[in-house]
Amino acid sequence: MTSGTRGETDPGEPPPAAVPPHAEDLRLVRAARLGDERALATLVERLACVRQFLAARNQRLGAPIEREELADLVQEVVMAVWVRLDDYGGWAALETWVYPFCVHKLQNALAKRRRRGDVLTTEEGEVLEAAPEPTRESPVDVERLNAALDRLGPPKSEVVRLRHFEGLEFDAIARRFQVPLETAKTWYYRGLKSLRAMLGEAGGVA
Amino acid sequence: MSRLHGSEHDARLAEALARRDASGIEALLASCGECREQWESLKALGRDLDRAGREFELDRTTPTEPGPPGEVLAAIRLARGDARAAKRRPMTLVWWVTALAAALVLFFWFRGRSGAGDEQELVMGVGLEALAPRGLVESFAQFEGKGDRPSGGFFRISVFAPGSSEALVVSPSLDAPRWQPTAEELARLPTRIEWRLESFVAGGESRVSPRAEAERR
Repeated sequence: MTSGTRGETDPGEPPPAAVPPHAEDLRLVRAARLGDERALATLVERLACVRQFLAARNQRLGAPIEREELADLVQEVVMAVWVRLDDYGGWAALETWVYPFCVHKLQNALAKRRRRGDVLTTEEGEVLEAAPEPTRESPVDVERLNAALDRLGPPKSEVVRLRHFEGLEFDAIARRFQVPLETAKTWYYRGLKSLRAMLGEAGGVA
Repeated sequence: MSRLHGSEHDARLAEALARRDASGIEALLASCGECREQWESLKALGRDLDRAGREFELDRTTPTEPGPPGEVLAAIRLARGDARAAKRRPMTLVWWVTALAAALVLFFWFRGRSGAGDEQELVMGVGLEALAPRGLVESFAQFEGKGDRPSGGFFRISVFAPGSSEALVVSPSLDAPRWQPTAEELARLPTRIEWRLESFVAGGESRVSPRAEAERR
């Protein structure tokens, strides 16, 4: 079984393409970090996804986070993303890379509320005893899964993400990475095995 | 694990997982317990990943209200400011002496300019003032300032130990220049504090009031 070391490639297989699949996003991020005003403006537009992710997820959970607190979360996530931007390698679309930050911050905000024992109501006026678990209406611990994917590292993590988050077929994934079809499938298989080991055979993510 | 399992079995499992279909590997699953276990386990993980993918898609596409204009840029500028502040910490004594001298010059220049002191807080049309608490007070339970809320922007209140440049407590983004810290935040405050009101405009520029001093009885 592979160890899941970040950026690891399997012996006997070609290395991942020198140009990452989202090289355009990577160029944008680097230019913005270097102070290119046009790139920064485009990045700002792209990071509108932060509010979208937070607001949509909050809405789906029954809107336990109010508008003002949501604005604070948007600010916190954007700041965290900006600070970590140098880690972005262009392996996933920028939005896909940003998504786990949103899930994590929202989860923390809800956990904080639970610790305070806040009494909350849903949009329909239903009284909740405490802030709901993010998993209350969602069957999967997305945060844990994303953390494991981050530990797995590219290219395997990105093959898994492209397959399950972007719904790509393997021939399209192989084209993105400029590798043979069999290599893409092997990366996927070994990626799943490493993920399973990280998440624990018994616990899973559901 | 045999060499045969490590190569051929894995290759067949990988192929079947990629097409999400066990047809063609039934005999393998029947004869190899490890393959069977692997197949069930990875298939279940694949289902979890599918569900996570669907959640991502929902969070990406569920219609939501757009945020106020400039909120992303304002946050980026805040982050940049924080980074600059972090870099300033290890600066030399010379830098601090120069900064102190500059601050003193500015202070006396400002004091000389304004008798009443009100107009000194007007910066590009936005007057900001830290009103209460000031002086000797019963508690720090409520902070209140004065200033026009910039269009699409927000206020923030920062509380410092006297003379410190690092805030002990910072309010969330505020619509009005008023804030009540939580009990946990209040517990972090010393008897004497300095605090200031800041406003952030949509473009990310910020305005800062002069600091107010307060002491709790």
